[in-house]
Amino acid sequence: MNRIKNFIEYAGWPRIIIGIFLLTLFVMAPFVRVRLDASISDTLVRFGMNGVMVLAMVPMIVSGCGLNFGLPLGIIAGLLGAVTSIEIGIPGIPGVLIAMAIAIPIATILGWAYGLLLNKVKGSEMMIATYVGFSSVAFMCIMWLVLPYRSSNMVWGYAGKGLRTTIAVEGFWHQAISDIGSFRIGQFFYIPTGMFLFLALLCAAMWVFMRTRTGTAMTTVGSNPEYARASGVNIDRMRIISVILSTVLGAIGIIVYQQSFGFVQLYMGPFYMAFPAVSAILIGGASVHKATILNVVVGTILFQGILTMTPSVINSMIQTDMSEVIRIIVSNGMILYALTRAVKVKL
Amino acid sequence: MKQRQILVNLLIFVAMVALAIFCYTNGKANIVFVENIPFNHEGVTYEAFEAIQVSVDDTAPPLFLLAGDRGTVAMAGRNHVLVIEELDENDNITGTHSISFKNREMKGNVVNVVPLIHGKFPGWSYQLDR
Amino acid sequence: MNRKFDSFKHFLVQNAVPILFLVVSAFAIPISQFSGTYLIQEMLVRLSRNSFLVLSLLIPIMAGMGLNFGMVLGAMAGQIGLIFISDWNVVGVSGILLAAIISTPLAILLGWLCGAILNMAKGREMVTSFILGFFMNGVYQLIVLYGFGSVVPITNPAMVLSRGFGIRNVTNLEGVRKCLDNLIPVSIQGIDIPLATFLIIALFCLFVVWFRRTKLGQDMRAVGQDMKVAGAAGIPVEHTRLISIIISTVLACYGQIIFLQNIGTLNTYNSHEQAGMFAIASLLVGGASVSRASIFNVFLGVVLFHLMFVVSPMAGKYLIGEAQLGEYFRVFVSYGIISLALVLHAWRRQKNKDRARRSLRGIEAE
Repeated sequence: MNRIKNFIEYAGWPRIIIGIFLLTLFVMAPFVRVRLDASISDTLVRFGMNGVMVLAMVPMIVSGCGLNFGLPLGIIAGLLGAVTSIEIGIPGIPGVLIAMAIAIPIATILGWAYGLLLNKVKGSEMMIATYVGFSSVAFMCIMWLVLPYRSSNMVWGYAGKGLRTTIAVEGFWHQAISDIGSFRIGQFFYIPTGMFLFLALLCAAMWVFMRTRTGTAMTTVGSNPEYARASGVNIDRMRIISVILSTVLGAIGIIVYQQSFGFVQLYMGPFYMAFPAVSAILIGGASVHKATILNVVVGTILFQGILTMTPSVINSMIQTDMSEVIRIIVSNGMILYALTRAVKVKL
Repeated sequence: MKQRQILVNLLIFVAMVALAIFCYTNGKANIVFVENIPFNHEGVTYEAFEAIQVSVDDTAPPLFLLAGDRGTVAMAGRNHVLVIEELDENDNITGTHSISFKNREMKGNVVNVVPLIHGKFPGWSYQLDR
Repeated sequence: MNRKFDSFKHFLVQNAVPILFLVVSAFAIPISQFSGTYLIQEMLVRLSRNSFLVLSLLIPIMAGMGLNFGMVLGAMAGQIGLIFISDWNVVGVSGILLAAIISTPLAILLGWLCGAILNMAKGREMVTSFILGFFMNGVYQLIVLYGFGSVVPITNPAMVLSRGFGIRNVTNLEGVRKCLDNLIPVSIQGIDIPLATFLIIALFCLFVVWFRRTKLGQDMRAVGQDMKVAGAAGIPVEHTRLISIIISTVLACYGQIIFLQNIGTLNTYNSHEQAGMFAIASLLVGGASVSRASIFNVFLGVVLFHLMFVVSPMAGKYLIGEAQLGEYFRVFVSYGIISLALVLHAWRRQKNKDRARRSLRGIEAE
């Protein structure tokens, strides 16, 4: 009894409710003629697609910069990389690597500037991050029209310039990472091994990084800034490093997402992409000041599970698609819960 | 003090409800059929007008009805004024009638202007079966 | 001389945003080739349409709660009122009044909810109210898309989706369209002036001026200055903050009704989202900051923001030959301006805090 109580305390009510909800959906799936293997496979694929972007939340939370609503900034760097890679036109793994090689320096520069900005506005990072994300997406809307990309796979046919809103990566590097060692069981069950390995690699790297000197210093900055100051850690520098890391991971994350999804979404596409990632890590048990790799894994599986299961199960149950509404309520409700629960910002 | 506050709040509430009811009855619009067809009253037959132009409660544009025509108009409020203008072949106005009636007087969703003009004979308004 | 220059510089810095907008508009207006009459008419319409929504933001700023992104809750309440009156086919000014009366209790309830949640998240009111807006958007969709027509009776089949419940994407407000604007018809040299709407806005401005002088208004300012001091002085801090949000939500609800009666159609699932963003951007363009806003800022902001809004697509078209570019430009500017204002405010606050800390440590602050 006591153990259950402890577990509830440890996991928190919202997570348990969401977990039970997801479990119910899985249990009900066979009864409403939704294929369980296909659902699980979908959930896993989406877990792999979104995992890196959720992981991108960790450094900034740990260093006390709060939830990174400015993720679109990293996503933009990733998009630039992806689009340039398609313009060059090299298919397969090299194409993805080129995309990342272009995206990472851009993300580093953007992240550095973004970090400098966030250091000037300590205490209200989240609101500003949100709007930095929004304005950068809006700014890039102009840029996508103007930038001199010429590949006929990407520009509007009649005008010959200006990138299209969605660009297919089919024929370039569709599922390039996912298909490394991927396998199928039956018709519906597909495991993108490569994508999981890649995510595991990044998670492990993050885990190791958190235990290096820089990593622990970063954690100290987030959890106890006064102590960090006293022990001679350069707070501003640590915060900038965390923001750069977060932005770079965002850039890598969107490339992983696209190679699995099959499309590059430009213009207003990345606008709301920060929110699912933020709610996923919160569902996984992170708070505004504390996050671990475990939170990332658990949260992404729970959140993406709900996103995959609600449309199919609820749709077959009541013949109405309520998934969009459920998604909005669950994800924003989770963020709201975290924001109201957190202790007042330590200054 | 406390009691007075409750009283004031209650008064505001009652006033709001009253205002809401007033607005509802005053603003509720009903679809009304206006027709221009012959009418028989106590053995006397009144012919339909050749052509008329009907405007309801000053809302533009007016309805244009030939003999035997029926048109629809949305009427809001409790009191209505029908302005009926008779037209000749060249669409010149030859006579104008202005008649007012209340929602309460109406028997249904159809208004025939012929008996209405000749003195609101019973049967000027009736319910149309769908 | 130097001092004069300094004060001029101070003025420039303080009003950087409106001045920037004036300059951009001054270039863009000739390029767009709009006539003066058209622009004046357009500005009058947009002033009457948007001012009330923007004004509803003033009171939470006074109470130190920043920009109330939660005003979309009020807008939702107003839309629910409008859905009911267009279902019942109540037209004219009575329709508008009825919509306002129906949505008032809803707005009060939502405002109370918003205020209570914001009291739990002191110090991060803005981001919380922002997310709350998204969250309630989900609840609103749940109610209107699934509840209306199934749980809540809707009599007019034309408003309901073909599946039997849920309101259609577009709700026609033909019955109340411009009925407030045209209540007192005034026209000067072919320019229509929506006098009745302006009278209501003026009345509301008087209310704000009066409200600042009441006991409650003074309390709010004290709370906005410093919560701890206000609490020590015996002001019920949380209660005061709650009331400021309730007032703002109710006013935003009326503002949305005024806005939509002018537009004449309700985008059932989008209208409220845009309301908050545009209102906040307008206020900031008018030179307001997160902690200080006046009635003058409201009107200046609405005119400048919407001037750019009207002019930029055409300017973009004539300048670069692409209207889409101007479209994106104005989206960028609305978001950029909010970011800029938020950054400036946070930066200033941090600088003040640093200065306070330094003086506390006994080092001479420069």
